[in-house]
Parts: sequence; C-alpha cells; structure tokens
Amino acid sequence: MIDLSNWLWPGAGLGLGDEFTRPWWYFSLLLWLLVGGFSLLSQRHDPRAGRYWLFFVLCFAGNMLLIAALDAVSFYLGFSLLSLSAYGLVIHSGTAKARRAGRLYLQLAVLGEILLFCGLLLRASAAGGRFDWHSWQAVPLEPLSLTLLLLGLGLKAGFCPLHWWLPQAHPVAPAPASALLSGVMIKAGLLGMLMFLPATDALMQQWAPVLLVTGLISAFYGVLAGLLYTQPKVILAYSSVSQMGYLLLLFALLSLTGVAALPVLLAYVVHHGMAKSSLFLYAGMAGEAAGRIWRQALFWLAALSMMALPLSSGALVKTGLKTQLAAANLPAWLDIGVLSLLLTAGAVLTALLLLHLAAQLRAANNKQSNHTVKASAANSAGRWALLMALVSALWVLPWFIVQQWQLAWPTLAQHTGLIWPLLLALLLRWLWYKFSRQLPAHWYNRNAPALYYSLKLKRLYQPVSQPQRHWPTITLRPLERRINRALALPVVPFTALVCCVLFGVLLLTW
Amino acid sequence: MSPFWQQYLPLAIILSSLLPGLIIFTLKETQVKLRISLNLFGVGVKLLLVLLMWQAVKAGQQFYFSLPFLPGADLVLQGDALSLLFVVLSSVLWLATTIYAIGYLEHSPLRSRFFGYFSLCVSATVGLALAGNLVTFLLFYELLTLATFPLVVHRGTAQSLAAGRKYLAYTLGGGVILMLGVALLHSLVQSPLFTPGGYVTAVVSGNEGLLKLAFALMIAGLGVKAALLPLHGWLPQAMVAPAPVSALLHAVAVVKAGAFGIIRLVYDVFGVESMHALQLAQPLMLLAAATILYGSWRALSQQDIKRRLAYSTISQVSYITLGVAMLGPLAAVGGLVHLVHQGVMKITLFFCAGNFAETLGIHKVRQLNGVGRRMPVTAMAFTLGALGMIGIPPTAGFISKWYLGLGAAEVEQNWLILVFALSGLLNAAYFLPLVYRMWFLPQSMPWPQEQQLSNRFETHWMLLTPAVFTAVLLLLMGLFASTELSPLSWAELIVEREFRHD
Amino acid sequence: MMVLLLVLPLVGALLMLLWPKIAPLLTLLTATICSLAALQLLLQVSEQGSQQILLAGWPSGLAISLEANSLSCLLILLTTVLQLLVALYAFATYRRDKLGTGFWPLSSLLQLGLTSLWLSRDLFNLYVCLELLGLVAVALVSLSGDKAIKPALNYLLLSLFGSLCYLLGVAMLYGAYGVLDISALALQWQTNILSTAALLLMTLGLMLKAALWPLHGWLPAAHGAAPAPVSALLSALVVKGPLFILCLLWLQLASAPQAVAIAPLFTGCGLAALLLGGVSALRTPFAKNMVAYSTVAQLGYAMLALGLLLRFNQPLFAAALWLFVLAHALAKAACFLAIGEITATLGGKRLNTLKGASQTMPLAMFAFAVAGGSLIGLPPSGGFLAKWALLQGLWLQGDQLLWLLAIVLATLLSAAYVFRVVVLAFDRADPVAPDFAPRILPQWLALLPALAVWAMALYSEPLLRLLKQEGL
Repeated sequence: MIDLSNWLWPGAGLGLGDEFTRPWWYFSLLLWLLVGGFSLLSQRHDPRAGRYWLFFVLCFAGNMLLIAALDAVSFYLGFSLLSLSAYGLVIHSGTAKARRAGRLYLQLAVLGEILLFCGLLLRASAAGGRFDWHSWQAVPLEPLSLTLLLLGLGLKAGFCPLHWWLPQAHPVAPAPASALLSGVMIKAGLLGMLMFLPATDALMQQWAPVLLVTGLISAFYGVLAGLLYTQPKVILAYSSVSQMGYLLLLFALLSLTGVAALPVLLAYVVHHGMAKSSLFLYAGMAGEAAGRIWRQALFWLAALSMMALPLSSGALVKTGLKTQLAAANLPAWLDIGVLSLLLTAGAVLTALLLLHLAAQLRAANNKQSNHTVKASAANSAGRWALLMALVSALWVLPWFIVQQWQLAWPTLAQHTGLIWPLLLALLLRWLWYKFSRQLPAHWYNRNAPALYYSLKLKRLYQPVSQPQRHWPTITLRPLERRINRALALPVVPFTALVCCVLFGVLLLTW
Repeated sequence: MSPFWQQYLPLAIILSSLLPGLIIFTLKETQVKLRISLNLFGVGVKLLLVLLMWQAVKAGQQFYFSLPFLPGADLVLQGDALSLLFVVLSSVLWLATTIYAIGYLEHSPLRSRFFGYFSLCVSATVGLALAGNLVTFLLFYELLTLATFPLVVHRGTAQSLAAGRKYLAYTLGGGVILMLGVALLHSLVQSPLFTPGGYVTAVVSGNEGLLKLAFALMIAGLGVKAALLPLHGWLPQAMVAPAPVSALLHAVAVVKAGAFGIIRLVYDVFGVESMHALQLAQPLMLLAAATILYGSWRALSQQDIKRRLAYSTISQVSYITLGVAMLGPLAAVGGLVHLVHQGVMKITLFFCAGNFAETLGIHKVRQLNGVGRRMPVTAMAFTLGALGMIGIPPTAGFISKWYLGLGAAEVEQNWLILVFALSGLLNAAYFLPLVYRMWFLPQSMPWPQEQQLSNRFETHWMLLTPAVFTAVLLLLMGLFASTELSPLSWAELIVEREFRHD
Repeated sequence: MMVLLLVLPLVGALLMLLWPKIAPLLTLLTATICSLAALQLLLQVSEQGSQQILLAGWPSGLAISLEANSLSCLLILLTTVLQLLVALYAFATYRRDKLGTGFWPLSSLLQLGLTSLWLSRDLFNLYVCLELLGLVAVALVSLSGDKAIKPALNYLLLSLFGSLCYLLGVAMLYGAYGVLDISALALQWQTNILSTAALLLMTLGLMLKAALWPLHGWLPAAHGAAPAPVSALLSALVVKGPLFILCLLWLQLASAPQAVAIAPLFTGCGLAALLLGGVSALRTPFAKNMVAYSTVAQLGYAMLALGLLLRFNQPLFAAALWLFVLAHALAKAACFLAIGEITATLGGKRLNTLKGASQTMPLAMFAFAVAGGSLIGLPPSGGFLAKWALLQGLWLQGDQLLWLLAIVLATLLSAAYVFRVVVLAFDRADPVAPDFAPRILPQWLALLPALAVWAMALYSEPLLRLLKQEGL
C-alpha cells in the first residue's frame, strides 16, 4: 500500500488491500496484457497506431489506478482517465459511424462524470471531509447521493436504462478495444458501485429489490434487442447489456444476502470479462476462421461457456447466481419461484442470442471471405494463439476462484438443470431455421433513437447563433443639431438678458 | 532580516516592476537587448523579493508600509497571506507572459510603449494585492484601469479602439461606483487596515441600510472588473487586444483584481459575522451563480476562439465570487485556490490561442481542424487547459471545483452543486469540441496564414515555452495539491488565519 | 513681502514696455522671484497666522488694507508658479507661434491683478482688481490676431457689463453703510431688501465674469481663440478671481438666511454646469473648445461645493471648494499647454488632428491624460482629493443621493471627454503627421503641472487641514 496523502490530496493512497480488489486487479491486468499483445499484432499496419497506443495506455493506466485506489478521489481520477481516454478508442476508425457513436459515448461519459462528481461531493461532505473507503462506508447513504452515484456509475456500467451508448460504441471500435470495453472497462462502473454503495447500508437494503428487478429487465432487454441485429459486434454489445443486467442482479443480491454473493459476483465478472473479450476478438477476425475448424472451435468454447454449458465457468456462475437467489432475503412482492423461472428463461434467451450470433458470423464470413485482407501468416498465427490463451484462461480460471473462495461446485442436479435450457434454445433455433420464419425486414438493424437525441443535443450545445438582445439605436444627432441651431444666438445680448432676467426673478422670489 | 527591510519590502516589490517600466518608456525601439534585459531583470528581482516575503509571511510575519494620504486613510501596503497569494500568482505569470510577449511582438512597432504599460499594469496589480486598506485598494484599482487601456488598444485599429472605449466606459464607471461605496464606508467607519473578520461589525446595528448600500455599491464597482452578470459586456470585446494582453487581462490583472477585491471586501472589510447579520451573502451567491451559467451558455455559440475563452472567463471568475459568498471555510479555500488555478489555466489557453493565431493565422473554431498534427505541443497544452476548465482530475481545475463543491455541501446549499454540475457540462460542451477538432479531425483547409517561426519547434520557442510551462504547472498544482508549495496549502493557511480570529 | 509681490510685477511690466527686447527674460525673472517670495509668505503665514498690512501708513479705513491668510498665500503661490511655468512655455515657443510682444507685460499685469485680488478685503479694491483683470484678459485674448477679435470684443462687453453690475452693488452698499471693508461691513450687516439686491447684483456680475453657468457663453470662444499660454492662464487663474470674491461675499458678508436662500441657485447652477458643460465638451469638434467647456463644467464643482457649504455649513465642503480650485488650475494649465502644443505641432484645431498623437507626441499626450485623470478625479490626484472631500461631506450629511448621483454622472462625463481625446490619440491606423519635428521642452513644461496635481495628493493631509480651517 502506498500512502500519498502528503503529496496528492488528503487520504490519497494506492494499494490492493481488499479481498476482492486483488483478484480483480490481477484479472484485469491479465486481460489487458493479453489484449495488449493482441493489439500489437492486429494494429501493426494501422496508420494511426500511435494514437491507438496512446489511448490504450491511458485507459490501461486509468483502469489499473481505479482498481487500486484506496480513496474516492483516486478512484475518480482513474475513472475519468478511463472514460475520457476510451473515447479515443471508440472513434479510432474515424468513420462517420464511429464519430457518431463516439459523440454519444462522450456526451454520456461527461454526464456520468459530473453526476458522479456531485455524488462524491455529497458523500465526502457527509463523511466530514475524509475520502478513504472505510470512512465512507461507515456513513449511511442518503437518497440523493445514492441516486447520483447510481446514475453516474451506471452510465459507465451500461445496464438497461443507462445502456444507450454501449451498443453504439462497442461495435465501432477496433476489435481489441471492443474486447476491453466490454471485458473490463464497463466493469469499472460495477466496481465503483461496490465501493461506494456498501451492501450493508440500510438504504441500499431498501433499494436492492428495485435494482434486482432492473437487472432482470436489463438481462432480458439486452437479449431481445440483440436478436434484432445482424452485425456480430452489435449482437455482442447487446449481450453485454444483458450480462451487465445479471451482474446488477448479483450486486443487488449482495445487499439481500449479506455479502455471501460477493465471490459469485467476482467469478461472474471474471467469466464475463474473459468470455466477452474472446468473442469480440474472434468477431474481429472471423474472416480468417473460415474453413478452419479449430479456429471456429475457439469461438464455440467461449460461446458455450457463456451459454453455461456444464463444467464451464458459465455453469459455475449461473448456479451460483441461482443459489444466492434462493438464499436471499426477498421482500414479499418478489416471488422466488417466478424469479427462478425468469432466470431459466433468461438462460434460454442467452443461448438463443449466441446461436443467433454464430449464424450471423457465418453469414458475414460468407459475404466477406472474398475480400479479406490477408495478413502475414505469422501475425495471424500469433493472434490466434493469444485468443486461444484467453479462451483457455476462461475455462481454467474459475477453478482457481472456486478453490480460493471455497465455492460449492454445482451438483449433478444443477448441471442437468443447466442443460435443458440449452437444449430448448437449440430446439427453438432449429424450428426457427426449419420454418425459416423471418420478422419483417424493417424490424432488423434499426437505428437507435439515442443517436437522434445525441444529434439534437449537439445542436443544442453547439448553436450557430443565440438570441441576442438588440438595443434600439437612438440617433441623437438631428436633435443635437436642432438644439445647436436654436442656441446659436448672439452671445452678448443673450447673456446680458439672462443676467437681467435672473436678477429680476431672484429678487422677486426672495 | 532587519526591520528596515521589512518595512520597505512591499514597496520594493511594486517598484521592481514599476521602475523598469518607466525606464522602458524612454528607450528607443532599436534598443531591444537593453529593453529585454531590463524587463527580465525586473522580473527576477520581483520573484526574489516575493520569495523573501513568502518565507517570512509563512512564518507568521506581517509587512507594513504607510504614507500619509487622506485623513483616516493612509496609503498602506501590507503583506499578509492573502495578498501574497495574488502577488505570487501575478509575479510568476508575469514572468511567463513577459517571455511570451517578447516572442509574440518580435518585429512589431511600438514595443517600448507596450512593455512600459505592461510593467505598469503588473505594478498596479501587485499594488492592488498589497493594498492594506480600501482607499489604497481604490487607488491601485483605478491605476490598473489606466495602465491596461493602452494595452487593450495597442493595435490601434478601429475595432480595438471601439473595444477600448467600451472597456473604459465600463471600468471607469465601475471605479466611480466603487469610489462612492468606499467614501460611504469611510464616512461610517473610516478606512482602517484590512482585518480578518472585518471591521464593520461594531457599527452594524443602526446602520444596516447604509452598510448594505455601501456593499452593493462596492460589489457593483468590483463586479465590473470581475465581470459579474450585468456588467460583463466589456470582457468579450477586450479580447481584440494582442494575445499576451488578453492572457494577462483574463488570468491575472483585470478580472482577478475584481475578484480579489470581492474577497477582501467580504472577508477583511465586512467579515463573515456582519455578512450574516446583514444577509448579504445570498444575493451575491445568486448573482455569481447566474453569471457562471450565463457565461458558459454564451460561450457555446462563440465561433471565435478568443471570444469563447472570454465568455469562459466570465463564468470561471464567478466561481471565485461564489466561493467567497458561501462564507464557509471549505468554500473559501475553493474560491481562493481557484483564483490561482483559473489564472494558470486561462493563461495557458490564451497562450495557446495566441500561438495558433500567430503561427497559423487561426482565429475561428472551425479552422482548428487537425491542428494537433501541425502543433502537437501547443495543442496538448490547450487540451490540458480545457480539461482543467471542465474540472477533470488530475488538473488544477478539479481541485478548486472539488473544494467549492465540498464548501457548498458544508453550508448546506446543495443547489449550488447543481450549478457546478450544469456549468461543468456546459464547459465540456464548449471546450471538448475544440479539443475534438484539434486531435480527431483531419485538416480541412489550408492554414489561413502560416508562418515559419522556427526550424526546430512547431513555433517560436518563446511562444512555446510559456504555454508549456503553465500547462505543466496546472498539472502539477492539480496532482501535488497536498504538498506545502501548492496553492491549496496556501489557501488553507489563509482561510485558517481568516477564520481563526474569533 | 506682500508689497514685494505687488510691486515687482508692476515694475517689471513698466520696464518691459520700455525695453521690449528683454521682456521675456524679465518676465521669467520677476516670476521666479515672486514665486520664491510667495513660498516664503506661505511659510510665514502658516507659522505665524494671517498677516495684515496697511499700505503707505494710512490708518485703517482710509488705507488700502491687505490681508494674507493661508488660503490667499496658497493662491498667490499657485498664481506665481503657474505664471512662471506659462512664461517658460511662452519663452520656449514664442518665436514659433509668433506670440505678440504684448504678452509679456500683459501677463505681468495679470499677475499683479490676481495677487492683489487674493490679498484685498475691501469691496472697492476688489472691484479695481477685477477691472484690471478683465481688461488685461481681453487684451491677452486679442493677441491672437484677427480671428480673436470677435470673441475678445464679446468678452470685453460682457466683462464690462459684469463689472458694472458689481459696481452698482458696491455703490448701493456704500450708500447704505458707508464702509467698504468686508469685515467692517459684516459687523453692521442687516438682512433687508437693499442688501439682498446689492448682493444679487454683485453675484450676477461675478458669475458673469467667472463664466459660471448660465452666464458662460463667452468663455469657450474666448479661451478657444486665445494663444495656448494665454488660455492656460485664463482658464487656470483668471476665472478663479471672481469666484474668490463671490465666496468672500457669501461666506463673510451675507447673513445666514440669505446664504441658505441663495444656496439652491448655486447648487442648481453647479449641477447644470457639470452636466451641460460636460455634454458640450463631449460634443464639440474643436480641441481647445473642448478644454474650455471642461472649464465650464469643472467650475460647476466649485459652485456645487459653495452651494452645499452655504446650506450645510460643513467645513469639508470648503475644503472641497478650494481643492477643486487648486487642482483645476494645475490640471487645466497642463491641458491647455498640452493641447496647444499638439495642435501647433500637428497643425489644425479640430479634435481629429489629435489622431495618433500618442505616437507622434507621447509626452504631451501623456500630460493631457495625466491632467485629465485629475479632472476626472482618479486617485491619487488633486481632483480626487476634492471629490473625496465632497463625497465625505455628502455622506456625512446623509440622504443626499441626488447630489451623489449627479457627481457620478459628472465624473463619467468628464471621463468621457478626456478619454475621447485619449482614444483618438491611440488611433494608429491613420495618424496625423506633424508639420515639424515635435519639441521636447514645451511638452515637458505641459507635463509639470499635471505631475504637480498628482503630487498634491501626497500633501493632502496638510492641505485639507489648512483649507478646512481657513475656508474663508
């Protein structure tokens, strides 16, 4: 732990003291390094590689800093560094689409910053001017600061009502950048929530059911919206919205179960980070996988893990989620049975979405394969090797987590419980395919209304002109001329006259 | 240090810029080297003296120098912690601006006159900072107006003359109003030294109306320079002045003089107690908040870079007023530290805007496209300044906004946090597009008027160094806010002394 | 000492008439000696209190009595020093500007007239001084040649009319009381229609001669047409003579009810002078007329202060009144010399001639700006001191917001006309080229009084004390 309070601001410090920041930090580092290695290869021929690396490094620094922060201001520093630098990654390609998405991203990022800033102010003030986590967590939350913090951090985390930027920004960034955005950066919001909003707080306990429902809605919304798009990276982005919904649900469960859900949450974060990064990386170079079974196998390994195939990390977290839900201390209006059913339905939908993704990837390959740029063989091989490392980490890491946190390994019954949604999804997909039902074409790939509002907003804050008050111009010159003419009298008689008149008047009025 | 020195130190600090200035007036245009060395000599001596004073004041000493002037109001120069904050700011930024101006005005006519007035302007600012009572303050306040006017109209074009006229109309009007207020207060309590906790407390009962009137008059007078809401009209016009002048005007000399005056007025003349008793804080707070939002809003539509910066100044300077008006220690720290931070940030922005104009002929926002590639260092400095203005950590702007926000929460004026949030959003809305254009858009048209000012750097080194210096400074001030040298610590020291009196 | 101050200019003037060749040098010499003598007198008086002498050994009542209090001494010092300065300026420029030889003896006579006026305390003596002053002034104005004939004639006629009014009043008083010495008259003063009428007559005559609004019509033309050194003398000193008498009348002679009754006239006229004179100065297209109108406006301050003094009897107003007189004299001399020098060098009498003067004649422009600063009342100048005293008086009196507002307006107006010139001078786009190389010495001479008026502020405390005590 590094104490910087004599240099930076009071209470400033960096360190990995907490039981979950340490694994979080290492996991993030691993992911950053792997994807960084990937970028070394993939951005080799990029004309703007310098800019890419600048923002990459800034984001990296910000992310690592915010995880290691021991006080709120350091966290905020890392957070804003991350948020603002990520803009550079989002618009890296420089296309009109990327710039549009970047604008939306930046608008919301700045908004989030400011909301978070206000929330921090209120909290710091309540904590009597101290900034370290411990003193903050000891002070009860108030509704205003809770709302501000939730909104500020939620805009980064990207769950449902605050997700607008996510499906726009993730697809336009270069593949490794999207991988990082979905894999670790949006988790920063979640980490913030964990730090700022202690589960044991009374107000949090009250609000947790609402958050739980929000998470569920987000989980469903992400999938359903994703099914209506055909670009693989957009589908992946919506999948992230859905997965962040599950994470929000887990976060809410933290308050409802005591902190027993924490290891599950952590495992979920690791699982989703690895899986989503792998999928994004794959989506970026799917063209090279055409006709190569083992490359496609990497995709299926990651996808199946997300679909919670038994023995995968997905299975571990999904069962963990269910267990925690069952153990949670829910309010009366939330029925546990309905919730479990919904979770199962969610699993089916997730599986459907990934199958949809696979289909779209294949379709895209067929379209693209003719004009894919051929990278050198070594480069390509290196990238695939890194992806393989990532996918293996995805499959291996959960074991460590199980070991360290002594989580219960899913029982056989739970395994079977996991399989049938998968099968159901396959069935549904097959039926769909078989009867080749299609929704009307205009339902697909619709432009998000957020972009429209973003443009409106831009016009609002970059007005070409503003109403100006125009003072009426009064020209006094003619009047002056008339006065001058009227006063052009012979001086001597006039003055003498005035003198006499004055004398008379004064004497009379005495 | 002997007592003799202590007495004359404040005077010496003023003279160290005044005398070189007066000598410079008499120099010929061709005596460039002599002029530059005189100027730099003055800067060096001033910095040295300020350093001496800084150490002594930190140790708790006070400096005092007086000349008989009006009955009940001598001309007093006084070096206390608050005045030193402003003195250090103006001396350090004077150094940067002098170097910048030497580079900027190379080969232009009438340089002797320019640098002469420039030094006068700084002398007046420093005098204002060191002024020990209201009458002395008034004196330097007026001198500042006069010394700045020739700088504003330096180009001598019709446009700059019009701006100069407007500037004079506003500032002289403000000066007269201020004089009325000072005279009123003088007739009530004379003009004793500025004292922490104020000196009107004793006469509050029975004189509420007159004291309120005096406060209103003085705020109106100071508000002209501090560009408070209905009195801000001169500032956007005055940006036709050469870049170093705008930089000095916006960062140190004029607008800060007003803001500094408000600080003095609130803390050392009226004092927190009387401000509460007379209920003067709330209107001032409202006014400042309105100015903050209005300035930012108007900045949105400005297509001229310097005009945009000018409106931003209007908004940012009112943060200082707001911090003072909240009457809480934390807010006071925020306001005071913003006095310094805003100065450094704004001067960086103006230096950069000047660099763009001088090197590439860029004046409009839309001409900025792709500047980041042609002038990366300047663009980087500009970006830092802009981020600071928005209040993004770890820049200096974040620290001041943080303390202001904490102060607002402390005195339970939560609506002010909303004001800060809105203003932050607006700041982002008018600064980030510039940054975006510089870095993320390709150059869309040939540079309006490109000059090859240097073979090694992107522009003349004398233009580049000050911008880099202040940009680094604003980053350091934000990062190392807790160190003993930082403005934040100094502001805390001042506030401790101001609020300790009772 | 007093006698020396009176005799020396007289002898000097006579010698100059006899021997015109050495007139310039002689003027300088007398002015120098007189300045030293005046300084000496001031020191004496401030140490020992006011002095009184009776000329030629006649007993009191018959003899011409002279009284030197510290105010008179101050005014004498001001007169002699300005005389010296203007003489120096004239000496430096008279060949170039073709100043008539008449200037030298006339200016000495002017000094004589003023000095005796400051010292006299007798209504008839004052009349004589006034008459001398008026005639000499007219003669000086006419030095400019043909173009000055008409203004000079107007000036002469009105001056005579004013003197006549004054004389009529004196005669009425003499008929009623049989004495003319002011202190003696004050002892037997009665408030009746006769004394009121006499006072009013004298007041109007004096107002006419002092060009107080609304009887100022002759002044801008006369001062504008005169050569620069003459205008400086006229504006700085001559108009102050009648004002001095006016103060004597109302402060020492008039009874309290009369004084209170007349106060609104003075304050009202003062206000009108300030505002209308200011507007005229702002709008006139001629450089010297601008300065002349500024005199009309600034005299408004003095009138305002006098009116307020009569009404409230607050010593601060007396101080303000005389501070205005002193500060205005110095500042106006500087203004006229500076503007005169600039217009002479740049060739032209319109304000537009001053375009770019900050470049071509920086010193003279600086002098004008510095003097203008005092006219506006910027600290720390003499004008500021006066205004400060006025404001203090008003605030102490309470509830005088109207006057405060008027002062603010007047200040802004004066700022407007001063800076109208300054802004023109900074116009670098289209500067007027000088007809010949600008000369340094006259510009410095113009700067001196301007610097002096700012230096006044450093002696503010003794000045204020002295004038508050004295106040007539």
